[in-house]
Amino acid sequence: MTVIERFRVSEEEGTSAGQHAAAAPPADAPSLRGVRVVMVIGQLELGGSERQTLALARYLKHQAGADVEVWGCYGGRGRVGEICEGYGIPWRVIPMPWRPWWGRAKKARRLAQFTLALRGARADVLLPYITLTNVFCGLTWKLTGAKVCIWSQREAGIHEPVGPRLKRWATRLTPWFASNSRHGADYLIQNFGLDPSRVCVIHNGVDLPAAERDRASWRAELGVGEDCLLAVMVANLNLLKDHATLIRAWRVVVDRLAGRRAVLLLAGKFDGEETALKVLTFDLGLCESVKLLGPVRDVSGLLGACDLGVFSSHTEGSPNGVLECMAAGLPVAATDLPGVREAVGPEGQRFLAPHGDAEALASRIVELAENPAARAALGRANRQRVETEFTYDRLGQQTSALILRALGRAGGGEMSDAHGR
Amino acid sequence: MGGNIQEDFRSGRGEAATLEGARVIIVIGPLELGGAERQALLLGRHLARERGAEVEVWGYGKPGRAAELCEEYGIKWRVAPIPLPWSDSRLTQLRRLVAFARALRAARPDVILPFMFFQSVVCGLVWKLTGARACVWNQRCEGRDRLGRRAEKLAIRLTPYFIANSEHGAGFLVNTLGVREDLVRVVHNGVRLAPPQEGRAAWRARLGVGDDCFLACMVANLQTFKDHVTLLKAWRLVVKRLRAEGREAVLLLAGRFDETHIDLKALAYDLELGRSVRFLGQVKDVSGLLSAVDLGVHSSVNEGCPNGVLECMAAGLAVAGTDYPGIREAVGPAGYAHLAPPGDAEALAERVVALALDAEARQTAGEANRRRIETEFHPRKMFEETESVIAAAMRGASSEARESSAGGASRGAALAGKH
Repeated sequence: MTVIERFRVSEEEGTSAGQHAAAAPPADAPSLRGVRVVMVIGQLELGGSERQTLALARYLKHQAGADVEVWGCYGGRGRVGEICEGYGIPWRVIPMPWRPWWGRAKKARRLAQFTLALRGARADVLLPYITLTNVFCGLTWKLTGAKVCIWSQREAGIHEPVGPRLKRWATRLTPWFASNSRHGADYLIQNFGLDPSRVCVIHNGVDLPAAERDRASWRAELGVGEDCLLAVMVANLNLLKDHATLIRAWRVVVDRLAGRRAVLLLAGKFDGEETALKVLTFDLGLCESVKLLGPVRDVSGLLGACDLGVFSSHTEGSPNGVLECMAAGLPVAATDLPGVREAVGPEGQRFLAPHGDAEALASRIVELAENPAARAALGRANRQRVETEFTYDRLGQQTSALILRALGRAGGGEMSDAHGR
Repeated sequence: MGGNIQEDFRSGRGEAATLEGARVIIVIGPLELGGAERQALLLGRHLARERGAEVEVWGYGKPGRAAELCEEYGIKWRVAPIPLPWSDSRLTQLRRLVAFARALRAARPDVILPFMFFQSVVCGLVWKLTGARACVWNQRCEGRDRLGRRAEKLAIRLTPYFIANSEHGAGFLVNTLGVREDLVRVVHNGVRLAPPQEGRAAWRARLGVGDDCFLACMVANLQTFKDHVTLLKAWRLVVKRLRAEGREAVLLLAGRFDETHIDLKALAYDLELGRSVRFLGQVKDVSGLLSAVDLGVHSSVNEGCPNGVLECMAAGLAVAGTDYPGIREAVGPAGYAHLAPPGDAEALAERVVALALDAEARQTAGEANRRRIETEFHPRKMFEETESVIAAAMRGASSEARESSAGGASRGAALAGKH
């Protein structure tokens, strides 16, 4: 089991009833009927990118009428495979182990195997969804018989499992790029000298499922009363996130809110940082004020029980953990990173704190904690922003439009390039 | 070796005056403070101050508390080329051993006293090349950090005398390593608590606990062979039980943060012991700390004769701990009732709770413990018994040299000639 299991809705929708419900495409959906799309991800386990992949695959199949397959490059069936089956989307794993230190000959052999496998799939469109598969597909797509390949940029160059030369080469060969954030698009343009008209910004989609349990039930399980300030950060506990700054900030928050109980919930898969975070929590005397929940299935229910979303990170593309809090109508206090700024929009930006600044983050949190009216107003604004800017339908429509444009066909809905045009 | 020397050795008789002016090199592990290092330094100070020996302490790694104490005691110390880590390559290991032997030879020792298993093996291997007259193996545990059968066997053959600080340590030497029983002597640790720097009230105030809080303490570095994990699990149960009785309970873990402290803090977090466990790190004023405490606890899976237990006993505390041979030997028959099977958190919690709820039993056990320390684990006893072994080893070397010399053996003459 990977990531926070926020995909419960997808599991439910992955039943035959879900497929049926999704079968009637809206009138304005661009049609991709007869277009064969292969989406290529890494492991078939659920993470932020994989959830976007699944939502998009479902849209392309059921709304746009495309013939979609999801491919993984390592591991087994995983949760993604299970959910694909529920959606009626074929999936497969083509083993593509890759080590940066391998020699050229070995890498070339791997890529040749990858090319042959894709050639057999007879795809019209390749949609790789993580850095590694972006590079694989970028390098090989012309040999696979595909008509187009669209690179999907999810962050600003933090994961670099391939060397810069190979990546540069792949970007030269790739015709189209979609980034889930403006700064991701800028990264591509500035670092690889891409033509901005070939780079589109297509935001992530968020769709919270119905809560399994209500606020009171969650609070009872957590052992906190209604008067307790409950904040949550939804993110896996790994090195890219900066939970440590958040925990240090929480020490300040607890001190400043003396007299009122304040509990911070960290909901996410234990991904290597949990021991260090537990030790930090212990050392700061926060054992009763910080709870590491691990993966949570009923994220909607959990968010419904909270008063505030928090998010501390070193780098972000378009953080699902922030978007989900916003979708749940929560105000968000977070690290001031380009991806977070883009997510929260102008109204939410005053509650962002400089990267690594625990005191500043604590001040933003305390400001919201002490002002229920401000929390409610910002929460409403956040929900509205997500409902207009970050929906799965919008993700699907914009991607379909990009595919049609890349295939040189007419049609398609709104879409913005890297300059927001 | 003559039979009379053996008799002296076994009986503990023997002159102690032979060390006047003798160069004694005590070889410990890292220059940090653990139970074995504390004993080594106590002995070193005694030999230097009371016997007029020229003592040096050799260790490795970054100079830590052991080096500081050496300076306090006026004992020389140095970071020595102790052949660590033990290499898989015989050639590399041989080179390191030669370098170590050369360093020792240059120091012109009369007596080499290695403490702990690894140091005892490497000193056993090289001591005859160093010009020393005697080397006494000091077994402080039940066989940690093994080096491989060949090296151990050779070291045992070359080492003349062995001290173990516990019966089961001696048993390990004899039964596992095949040391001749008549060459092994059990010399218990010597414990004497320094005067406290702060009293009970000051310590409790510093810890932020009132006088009604039940305070237990384990004095031990946070290392893998201690079993703090079981103790923390037991403490979870203790806290619950005592809370039901309306009492707060806090466990103090006093000891250097070695390899396990991260995992232990994470476990304490998981067990929701944030308010009930304190990781104190290394504590200088152990006597003061113990005066503030109601109970000593000790959970371990590999012990020679644990100083952490002996210090609690010396402070007049009752001790609940693991039923392990070294701990049994420390607490004696009167303390057996408070020991729990290894790894059994529930049983350990029961022993702790029983003592927590019975102040009179605690006091009785504490007094018995203090008396036992004064009779069995007094430093004077440890010094005398160790000196008798050293003296026996030196006399053995002299008689061996005389015999060799009479027979025209050049090697024996060389050994005797140096001194």
